[in-house]
Amino acid sequence: MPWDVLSQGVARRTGLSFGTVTLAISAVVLAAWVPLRQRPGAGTVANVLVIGFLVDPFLALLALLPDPLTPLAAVGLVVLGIGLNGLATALYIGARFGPGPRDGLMTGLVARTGRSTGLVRTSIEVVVVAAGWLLGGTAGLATLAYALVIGAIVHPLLPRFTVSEGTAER
Amino acid sequence: MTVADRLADVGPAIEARGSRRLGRRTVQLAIALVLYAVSVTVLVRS
Repeated sequence: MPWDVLSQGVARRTGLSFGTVTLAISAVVLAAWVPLRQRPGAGTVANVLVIGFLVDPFLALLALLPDPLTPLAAVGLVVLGIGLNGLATALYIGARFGPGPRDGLMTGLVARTGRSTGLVRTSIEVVVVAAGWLLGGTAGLATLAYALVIGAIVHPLLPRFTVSEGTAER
Repeated sequence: MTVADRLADVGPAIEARGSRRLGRRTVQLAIALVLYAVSVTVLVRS
């Protein structure tokens, strides 16, 4: 994924571990929320914690798949992964408990610039993957596909899954 | 019916609606996080 390419590139340049760089980038992105007037919420914290805890067990399950994958299976997983990621992004931003650090950058820029979600998301992903690649990160076709397509998936889904604000909400 | 009577009727309805909305948001967030984790895993594995 594009942000992982950036983390990888920075890690190679600085000698810091991938995890440390990922956390540092999250901190920088969260700092960028201040001028964008984004506020973290329960969803911001849940995004980091829940996904962090779930990825390892899911990876263990997927380790049961044959290795290496056939090209068709690999393409299928990429398509499935990008599609699910777009759906999940729209669902959790739409729940309005606060976006994850990187998605908050998108929602903040959309709110501040008035540009479309699709354009802003695609721009962020392309800039991030290009910066990561220039710094020495590894970007494959799947990364490029993600960067170019994710905005077009999230853009139409977000309004569909955004729960309306209510005056009696607690 | 006085304004106070009307508010007495409307208040609980609005509260119930707000609670349902909060419930939907919570379920939606839970589903989203699981799907997000699955998608990240699938993309890493591919």
